[in-house]
Amino acid sequence: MATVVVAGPAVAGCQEEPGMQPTITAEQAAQRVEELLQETYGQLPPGARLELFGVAGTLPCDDPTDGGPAGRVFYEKRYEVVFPADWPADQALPMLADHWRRHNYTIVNDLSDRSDPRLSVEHPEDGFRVTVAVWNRDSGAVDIYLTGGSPCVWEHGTPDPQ
Amino acid sequence: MSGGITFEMLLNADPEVWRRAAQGWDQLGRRADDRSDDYASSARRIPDVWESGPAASAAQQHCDGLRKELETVFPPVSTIAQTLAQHANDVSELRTRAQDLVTQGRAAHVTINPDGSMTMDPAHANEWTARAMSQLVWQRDALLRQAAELDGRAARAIAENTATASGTPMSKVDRSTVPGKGTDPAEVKRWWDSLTPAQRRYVTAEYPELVGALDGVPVASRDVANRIVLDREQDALTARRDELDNREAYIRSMVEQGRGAELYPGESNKVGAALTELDRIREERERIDRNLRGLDRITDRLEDPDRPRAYLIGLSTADDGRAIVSVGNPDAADNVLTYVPGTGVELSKVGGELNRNDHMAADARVADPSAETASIMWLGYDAPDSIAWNAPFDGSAEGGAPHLDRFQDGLRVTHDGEPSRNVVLGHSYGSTVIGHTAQQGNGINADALVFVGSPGVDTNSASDLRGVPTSEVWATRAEHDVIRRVPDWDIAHGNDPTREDFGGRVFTSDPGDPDNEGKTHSAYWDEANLARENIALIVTGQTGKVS
Repeated sequence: MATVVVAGPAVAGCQEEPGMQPTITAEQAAQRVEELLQETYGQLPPGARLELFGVAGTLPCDDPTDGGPAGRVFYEKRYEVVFPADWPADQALPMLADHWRRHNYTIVNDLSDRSDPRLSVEHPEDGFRVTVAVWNRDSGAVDIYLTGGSPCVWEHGTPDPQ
Repeated sequence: MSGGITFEMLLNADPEVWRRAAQGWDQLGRRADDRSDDYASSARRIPDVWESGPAASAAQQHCDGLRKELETVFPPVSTIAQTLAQHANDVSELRTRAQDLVTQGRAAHVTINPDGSMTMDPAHANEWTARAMSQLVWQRDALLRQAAELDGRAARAIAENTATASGTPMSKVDRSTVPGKGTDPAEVKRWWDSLTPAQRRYVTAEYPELVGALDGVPVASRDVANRIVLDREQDALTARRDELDNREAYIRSMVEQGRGAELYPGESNKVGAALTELDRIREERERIDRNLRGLDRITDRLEDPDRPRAYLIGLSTADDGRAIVSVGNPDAADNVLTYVPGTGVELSKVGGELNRNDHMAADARVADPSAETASIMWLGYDAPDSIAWNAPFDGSAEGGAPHLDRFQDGLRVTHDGEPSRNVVLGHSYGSTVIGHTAQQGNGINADALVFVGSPGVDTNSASDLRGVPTSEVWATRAEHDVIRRVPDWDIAHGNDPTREDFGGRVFTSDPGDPDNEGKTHSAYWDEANLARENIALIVTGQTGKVS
């Protein structure tokens, strides 16, 4: 964790100017994403559990057209929040919104007043993001997902000429 | 077990059991294939120790026979693995729908018991509840019928490919009867349907490079064929790389011994000839390494037990390489997304695109868990290397159009049951390829088109795009995407399709980073970017929710 925070400014540098600055590694990014997701989960009413949804892994975060070298990635992980029928699902998003506000997270997208509400925020120091998305299905079922993502990093922390 | 599926079985079904069984069969197929490779290399070494004679020939024949036997094991074993994996997906989808039905019942004051029987809440025993209950009964029965049908289909596929005492039979089909490249997919499908299962196994095992590339052959069979092609390409490239290493080492050792002149007896400039050959070796080796890197990424994805099953629908290492990989089987899916990547994508960089494709498949599952969505990464054309230099002027769009056109036609003819919702999405220059395809002949066979960060789609009007309703032509461009620097001058690819006068439907994506327009060009798939959710809603047909 300490390594990740110290490396924060380097990550921000990568976003500002595509180039050859070292970053944290994809593995460290994965750890930090997991940590943020667990912290988010900890703010939810008790009685729910997390179930990995889809693929946790890296995505390309650059394009040769940006003039910078290719090969940087960002890490992403998504959990489904699984809960019993009597769990207060409607409180999940407001509780997280409150937690994030108190901890000065930056709002990336606030769609909390939609019929399928969702809120995305960014950590104020290291640029990692978390999204809570609530889907009210036609059947009456409610599905909630938590997704965490890292800023763009070099897979091994330093520029990879390939 | 066909016909005997109960509601209780659906609610308690565990798709993981099927998934694990599929992995076991996949491993068996791979092991058989590895053994076959071992026999091939042993057979090649026989003449080194045993040059000629009846015994040498007999040994050669024996090794070849064993290799052949193992090779023929791969298609049926791989088909069984596919069938089990597909069944796992079907079971998972049916279970979700059974659970949804229970939730729906609860909201309508109807308790659906684990055995599927239903009871009305006495406090709400009225006409409305009775109506809701009869609707639920109808849905339950439809679900059980579908479960029995899917179960029967899987059982038939497994039975067809299960070895008998005499092995898994194959019947010879002449190579000349296989439809040629570019044949109309409907005609290809008729040819395929005319073959017996034993003949299909034969053509898949004997002519994988033909069967794997033919639009109109069912995706499951193309996948088996292309996995054989993938294995052969990897072996051939690795062998060629070894050859180059050996040749390089030989040249260097001859030069070090002062015998360089012997290498090129007819050449006047012997040093120059040696340097030229060493350069050529280096270049070829770099190209091989790039292709091998791409093939390795594809292999990793195909063999990844933690991700949904992937299907290899096309593969080639010619030029910059081509690859078509689907997450899920499009022939069995309700929604099918074809994703056409943009500039700079070649086989060696396919790993990132495969991940992007996986995420789009997962996004679609979040948007509609009751439907099965297959997502295809279609690198079936030679993408230009850079948007600044090659893209505006080269013929990649023209070159890619007939391939994409046939591919989409092929998806339609091989699809099982009700037609799927087919959506074609292009990022960057990929959108130009789609635009070009939609203006040829009858246009493109799709229900919706999606242009993301497009430099233009070869026309200034959505109504010029044929084969797709104009109301389903979608486009997005981030506010700070560098692509906006491409001028609307009519000299490159047509105007920006997010312009109002283009006539498409524009959806939201995050504005991006004003200080890094290049990064913004590929940020549409970043976590939290609204574009991703909108794409998933379009793919799953929930267009009323697109923002």
